[in-house]
Amino acid sequence: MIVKGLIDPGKHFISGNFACAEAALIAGCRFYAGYPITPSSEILERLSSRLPMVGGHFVEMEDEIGSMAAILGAANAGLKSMTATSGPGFSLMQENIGLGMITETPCVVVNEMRSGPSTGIPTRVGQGDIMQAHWGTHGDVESISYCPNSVQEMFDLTITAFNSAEKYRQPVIMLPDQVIGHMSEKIVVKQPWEYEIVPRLTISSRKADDKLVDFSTDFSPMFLAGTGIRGNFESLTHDEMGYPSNSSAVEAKMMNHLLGKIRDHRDSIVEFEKYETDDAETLLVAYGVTSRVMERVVREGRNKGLKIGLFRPITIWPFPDREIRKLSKRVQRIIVTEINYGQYSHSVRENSDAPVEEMHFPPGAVPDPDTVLKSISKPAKQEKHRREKGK
Amino acid sequence: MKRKEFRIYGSGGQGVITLGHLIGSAALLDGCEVAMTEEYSPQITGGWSSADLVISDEEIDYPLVRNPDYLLALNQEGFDSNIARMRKGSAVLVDSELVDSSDAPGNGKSGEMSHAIIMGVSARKIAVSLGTPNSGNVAMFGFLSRISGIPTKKSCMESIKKRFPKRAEENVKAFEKGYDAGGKFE
Repeated sequence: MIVKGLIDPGKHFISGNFACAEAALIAGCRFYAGYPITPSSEILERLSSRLPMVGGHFVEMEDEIGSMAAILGAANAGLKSMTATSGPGFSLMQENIGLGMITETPCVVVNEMRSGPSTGIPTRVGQGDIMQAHWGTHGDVESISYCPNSVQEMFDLTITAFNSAEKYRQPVIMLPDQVIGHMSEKIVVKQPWEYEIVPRLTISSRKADDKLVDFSTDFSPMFLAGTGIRGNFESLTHDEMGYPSNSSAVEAKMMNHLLGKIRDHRDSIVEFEKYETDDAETLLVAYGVTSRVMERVVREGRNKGLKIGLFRPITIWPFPDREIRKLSKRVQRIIVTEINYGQYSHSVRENSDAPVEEMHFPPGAVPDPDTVLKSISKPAKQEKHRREKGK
Repeated sequence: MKRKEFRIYGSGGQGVITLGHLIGSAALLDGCEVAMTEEYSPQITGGWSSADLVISDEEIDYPLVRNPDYLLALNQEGFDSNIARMRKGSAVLVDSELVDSSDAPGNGKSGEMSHAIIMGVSARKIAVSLGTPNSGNVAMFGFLSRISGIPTKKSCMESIKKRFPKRAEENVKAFEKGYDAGGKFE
């Protein structure tokens, strides 16, 4: 089906936020509810004018709690839905993200990372919401979180995020940092039919004893509100009929389904990029704008004869554990570089056979490649000492 | 073309970000890769505003500007706060009515400093004389294109027409005036 009003195919010079908004429309997003917050506001601004052009709906909400609730409502009534925010708003959304997880409601939440905690430095970069994207809501969940490092990727991954949300039926997180959202770069937009768009699977009728969700399969069609079909949306632990239960056996069955549908398909979700890792002795791990800095570090380091490589997780979650483990067996050390005080390094260390060092950059600025390179080329002696100590 | 870095700095309302977008989309038409980052103070008008561009034939890894090859200073603050970082051989383009560069270190009569070359154009005056006082940024666009060749004039024209479909004619005029003014520095 050809939809009128989508962004023209071809090259565009466009900001990350605008690219995200345009990609959402291609992915089929027809409902946005949000509350403006720097640095994500341009997504809201763009969609406020663009959504009506494609027959969609835009609501400026009273706050982020309401925003998240509204997109869950719209999604359960049949529309592909999205909201965008930054750290402070993301904190407010956590409760309802959990509701989306247990009710298996597909939607996309963009959290554009700025300096934190609390309101921090609104206009400046941070990468401090890495753990929050997985563990921000209470209870056990498996997060799907994408971390773009260019405007083109912001565009492409937004479409992927919508597809994953539909396929795995849960809120999916887009986790760009402020630089990526505000930066303008070239994007190449393909013809609309060249994009794979996952349609929503729904049930068209239901008999009284039909299951609402089938826990024995990973992908069940959705029951929609307002279609005349009778059913429950249940935030309590529930059985396949959608009725609440106090039984730990039912809880185990439900959780096995909720976590299993992600864990079983981990390989088709996880995305990453390797750069100059084949003979690397030092492996850098970086994501978002930091990975652009480290790409430069690797390039310049290689010119100076340093055997250095870069691993870039594109899905921050699920964690690319097997890939890290494999690389860690052949490198001498791993350095996790991030604009926070040590978050992703925990997961890398947990999955590494090589010693893991942390390189923290205070939020508010993008690290300088020269300074990084200098500090990497120095501690060869110390590194050896550390390796011996680790045995 | 190897990686070139541009910094545009002026007051809110002068069209700094717009100028950045004009340069960026024109460079794209030239077949280059472009990364642009922007910063501004909380005030919409009267505060400071800056746009940084990296333009290159190759894929751009580090997307930020560290040592500009070109500084476009649209106000005094833009000149004062950036002149110290300009290296030898870099170019400083100023609105000569709004920026006094005479105090710059090592600034001789030729306009040549010990490190950077300063070139002035009366961008705002050009805009006022054309009856479109807001098009000073576009005059500066022309000035830059003539002096650096980045982006090419042809692509600049195209990007102006795309950006201002209803006001293309007056903006093209401002561009041409700025472009002509660059001729004396060739």
